[in-house]
Amino acid sequence: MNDNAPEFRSDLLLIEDDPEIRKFLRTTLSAEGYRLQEATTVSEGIERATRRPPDAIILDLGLPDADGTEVIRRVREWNRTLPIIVLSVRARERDKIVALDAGADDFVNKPFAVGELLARLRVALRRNTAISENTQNSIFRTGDLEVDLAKRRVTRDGKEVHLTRTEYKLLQILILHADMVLTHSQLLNEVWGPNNEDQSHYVRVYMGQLRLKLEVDPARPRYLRTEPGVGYRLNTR
Amino acid sequence: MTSAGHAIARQSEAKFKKDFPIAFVVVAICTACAVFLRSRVAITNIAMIHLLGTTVVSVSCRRSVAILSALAGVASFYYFSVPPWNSFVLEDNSYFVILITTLTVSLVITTLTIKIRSQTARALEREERTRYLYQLIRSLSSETDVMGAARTAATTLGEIFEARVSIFLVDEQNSLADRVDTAEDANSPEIESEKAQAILDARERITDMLRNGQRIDLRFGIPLICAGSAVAILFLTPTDRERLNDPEQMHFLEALCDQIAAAIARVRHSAAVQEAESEIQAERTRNALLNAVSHDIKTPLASIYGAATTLLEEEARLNSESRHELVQSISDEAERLNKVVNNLLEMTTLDAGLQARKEWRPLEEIVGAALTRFEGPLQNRPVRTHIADDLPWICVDDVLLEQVFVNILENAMKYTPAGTGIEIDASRKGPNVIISIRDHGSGLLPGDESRVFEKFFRGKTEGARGVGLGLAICRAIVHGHGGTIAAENASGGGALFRMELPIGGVPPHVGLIPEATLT
Repeated sequence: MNDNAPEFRSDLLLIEDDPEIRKFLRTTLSAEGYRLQEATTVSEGIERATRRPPDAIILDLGLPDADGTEVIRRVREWNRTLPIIVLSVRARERDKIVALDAGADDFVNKPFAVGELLARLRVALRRNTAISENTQNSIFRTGDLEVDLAKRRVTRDGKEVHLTRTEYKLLQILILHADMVLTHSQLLNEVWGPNNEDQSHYVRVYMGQLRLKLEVDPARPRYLRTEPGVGYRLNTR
Repeated sequence: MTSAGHAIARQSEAKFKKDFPIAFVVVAICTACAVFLRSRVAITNIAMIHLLGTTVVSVSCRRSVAILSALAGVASFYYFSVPPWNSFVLEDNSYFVILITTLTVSLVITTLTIKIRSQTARALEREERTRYLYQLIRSLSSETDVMGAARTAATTLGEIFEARVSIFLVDEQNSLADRVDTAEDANSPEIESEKAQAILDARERITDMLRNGQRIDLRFGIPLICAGSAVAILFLTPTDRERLNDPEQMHFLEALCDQIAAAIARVRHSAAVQEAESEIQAERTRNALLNAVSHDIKTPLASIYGAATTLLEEEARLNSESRHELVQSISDEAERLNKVVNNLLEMTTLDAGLQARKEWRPLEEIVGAALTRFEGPLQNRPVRTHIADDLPWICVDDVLLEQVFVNILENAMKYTPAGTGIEIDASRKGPNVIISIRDHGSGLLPGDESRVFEKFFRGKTEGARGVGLGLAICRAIVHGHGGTIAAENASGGGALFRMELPIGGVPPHVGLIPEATLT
């Protein structure tokens, strides 16, 4: 799937202050067929995103004039779907959560391999066109897992798996955001509704149960991955 | 606190003011009795009355008054009771013997009584001083810092001498440092400091004066000397100024001063030793850090730089295989560099103070996240995880604890041959969770069991590369969670890392989670 070229020439906005990183991303992304706009500050980024809205934004959080999260907040005021991928430094999980909860779609840890960024970018871009490449005619497939979203039927290795209402709801949210990270508070909000945001153990309990039912080795999950300190991700790769 | 001896001394001092009238009254009573009885009883009995009076006076009065009263008693006996009455004429020579005997016995009684009395008083005082000295030594010996020692010394001296005490500490450069006062209001401290400075400047002259037995008014300050150098300046202002005129008290004070000086010097010395030791330790860590930075950062940098310049300059002459090799090496070395920098950063953060964001989590999830990070490299190593079913959730920082697993697993991969298995076990033990990670390599060298957790320690295995911080980070994280971590060789070979982490309270009740709302 790594050699899949984007189906259409997407416009990207790269907001990053380091010239060397901009240079190698420019080379790589152009080679992949993306068209690129560049900005080096939060204000420039917001201005460019407003003037000529891109198909996705790649955003560095550590910008000279303000916190990169500001871009996410401002963009989300007028566009709820524009994919935003954050470039972040490991061990700053708090920043990632803030960015994700502000509306970023995913993050990539610096330093990163280009393949990683391209994969995240493809997933985020695809969300605007289809639910997921694994989903056809309301059937989601990955590995030995199959979920019929219309009939609410889950099978693993051909055998039906019975999920409780909450387990199914959780799985459904993860499928709708397949390969994207979801924070604890996003999952809580989606599954249990607002006003439960400090009950992150709800998610952990149900995630544990889902793993028991869906994973071959729940201690080494293949699908239901934990992003320590941030949240969860349904992995289909 | 006022001592018994001191109390006695003060009591008798008060009495001495009245001892002249007492002696006068006693002699007068004895004389009156003698005059009343002289015609009724034998003259020897009259002498006894006077001896009784002399004894009473010598028990309770000053030496001079007692002798005076003894003489007065004998004179009164001679004048009133020796015939002829009311005259100093000696009628019969036989009365001469009784007169001389009475005089001698009177003086002997007086002298002996006074002597016994002063001996008792001195013994009491000595005992009291020994007790004070012992008390001072004991309380000083438990002090670990100079200010504490000075404060204890000032308080104790203040109690013993009922005085206001100021101690000015003198530092190694022979200049005044901190001061300690017993009085709440240190009136005009500037002037006192000036005085202390003057004493400090004249310390050699004063020391000589003290050595030659000259008396010095302590209200004007004396230097406390240990091993030839002044460690402090002492000011002592007793409420009763007469006290320091007593040579015994002065000697006592000198003994106390010697102890205080020795204690301050000792505390200062041990603090200096400690400081030197921690400095050596810091220096060692700094060297190791520099070493790590220069070696472990520069080596991958050299590879990257070398490969990159080769690609730039020799591009035309390289075949595609060599080009790919060089690019691969740039990528690998960059990854290695990233690990080194991450470890150094993490260690620095942990050193600066662990800020764990603890929350309740299932251990399984943390182990799973750690194993996920190794998908590629762990594929050729069977990993068996066994987490006890009854294991409760633990209250930990998942990001940090995951790092512990990652570092130990990384370590196992570095030091064990490919294809050997790794086992992770977790079970509950009282209020703790015991986690063990075991590999099947050659194990640890004897003596390395605790050293592996030291910063910048590296195993002797050839080809092993890294900063030697991985396990030090593990230890810092586990300690930050109030747990312990140890390494040993497992029976049957291989290294075994054993962690014990507190569960951290009562896990949240997970039975009452509301069902999702169906949409």
